[in-house]
Parts: sequence; C-alpha cells; structure tokens
Amino acid sequence: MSVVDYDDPQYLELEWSEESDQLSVPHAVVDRYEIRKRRYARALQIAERLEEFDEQFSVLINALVRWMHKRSDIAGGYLTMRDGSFLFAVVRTACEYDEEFEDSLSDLDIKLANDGDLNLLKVDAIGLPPASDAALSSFLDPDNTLKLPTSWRQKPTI
Amino acid sequence: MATEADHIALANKNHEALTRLAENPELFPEWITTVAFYKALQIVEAVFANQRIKSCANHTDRLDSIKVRLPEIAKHYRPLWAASTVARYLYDNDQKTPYSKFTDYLPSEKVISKIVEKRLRPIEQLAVGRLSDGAKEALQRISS
Repeated sequence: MSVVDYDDPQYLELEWSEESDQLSVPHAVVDRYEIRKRRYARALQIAERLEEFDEQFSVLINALVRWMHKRSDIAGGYLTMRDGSFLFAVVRTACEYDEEFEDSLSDLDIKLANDGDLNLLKVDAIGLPPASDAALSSFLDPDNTLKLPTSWRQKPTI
Repeated sequence: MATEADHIALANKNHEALTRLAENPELFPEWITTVAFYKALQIVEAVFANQRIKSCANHTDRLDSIKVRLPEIAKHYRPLWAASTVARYLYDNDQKTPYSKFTDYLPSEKVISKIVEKRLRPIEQLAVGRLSDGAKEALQRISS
C-alpha cells in the first residue's frame, strides 16, 4: 500500500531575506506560493493581468511587513482572502483594544487604498487579539493564507 | 434603492437601540459595538446617497469606497468595523490563550468611551457636513 507523504502547510510562511532586504519565499513552498498567487489573481478577477498583479503583490506584501516591523506589539501577520479581496490580519501581543494601534493600522489601510501603484489590489486590515489558532482560523482561509515574517535578524530599510 | 432619508431613519433606529444598550453597558458590550458600527454604516450610506456615490452591497466594497472617497471617516470607520467583527466572530474556548471573550478585548466599562465616543461620534461629526440640511437635522447624534 502506498502512503501519500507530503507537506500540506495551511499558512505558507514567508521569510525576510537579509541579502535582498526583501521578503523571500522559502524554496520548499515556492510552487505552492505561485499556486496561491494565481488563485488570488483569479479571485480578484485579474488573472489575465498576472504580470502586473505579481509586481503589485510584491509591493503590497513588502509594505505590510515593513509596517509590522516598525511595531513591537505584533505577534503575527497574515494575508488572506475574504469576499474577493485581501484581508491583512494582524494578531497583537496584547489583548486589549488599543487606539494608537488602530489609528496606525487605519493610516496604512487608507494609504494602500489610495496608492495608484496598487490599483489592482483591494485590501482591508484588521487587528485581532491573541486568540488560539482554532479561534483565529475563522478569519483565515487555510487555502489562501500567507504568514508574514514578524522577526528577522537584520532590520529592513524603511 | 434606499434614499438619504431612508438611511438616516435606519441610523436613528440603531441610535435608539444603542441608547437602550448603553444604559447597562456591562450586559451586551458586543452589541453596543455592533449597533454602533451599523449606525455608522447607515450614516455613511446616507452620505453616499446625498453625494450620488454608488451604494455598496457588502462590507468589503463599502470599506474600499470609504477609504478612497471619505478617508477622514475611514480612519474611524475601519476600527469600528474591526471591533464589531471581533465582537461577532471571535470567541475562544481555549483557556490557555489571553483572549477568550469580547470583554478581554474591550472591557464593558470602556466600550462607550472607546467605541461610541472615540469612533462613532467623530464619524457623525465628519458626516453631517456631507448631508443635506434635512438629513442633518433628522440625524440623532451622540450627545457629549
């Protein structure tokens, strides 16, 4: 009897590359990353503009990670899809609602929505308290979620 | 399609419910947050109707439209939407995590100040300048 043996990571985890000073995709998940990107493009109904989508998507996820890096109160960051648009879900280290955090996330969200270089992408942002993976899973589509790096050895240039 | 007056009427219904809920904030802080959000939603839709901006059928499209057309309002609307989303969808039975229920995120004694006064009220203040005179007069607003 054959046994199917392969990794099926739900949340693809990206890394920060010191060399390129940008996000990088671990070799083991490159193919799945490409699959998910195409799925995103289809969900956004821009599959015929894949090259443009790729460029904008790269700008987007780097902007999200650079924003996270400026903060010290983030336990996890995820990019997922919901209702045909991206959802940037940020899990905080502290439980209680924080006005300054929410204002900063709103500023980022509004900036992204008005960025002409990201005109193909729709993204909403939400801050979440530190709940269990099971509870957070109601916000994160397992087939469409990227886990963004929250730590790296070298700080990215802002 | 709903008119500006229709949306104001719906906002006022939410206002009435909010007023009742706020009498005992410890009972239903989740619903104070949720009703505050839906009042804000109706106010924004009233602004859209008055300014002939296309009405939005879902939260995602509405958020996107507010961020582009009404960014000052979006600054408060997004956290209100986010808090109401936590109120409606995040519950955790795992006792090992810091969060298990909504009051861990927004204690009931803070829900009026953090949500109603700091988020809904500015939306009302920013929106009235974008409403017709009749709607402006009809809208029941949060008192100081």
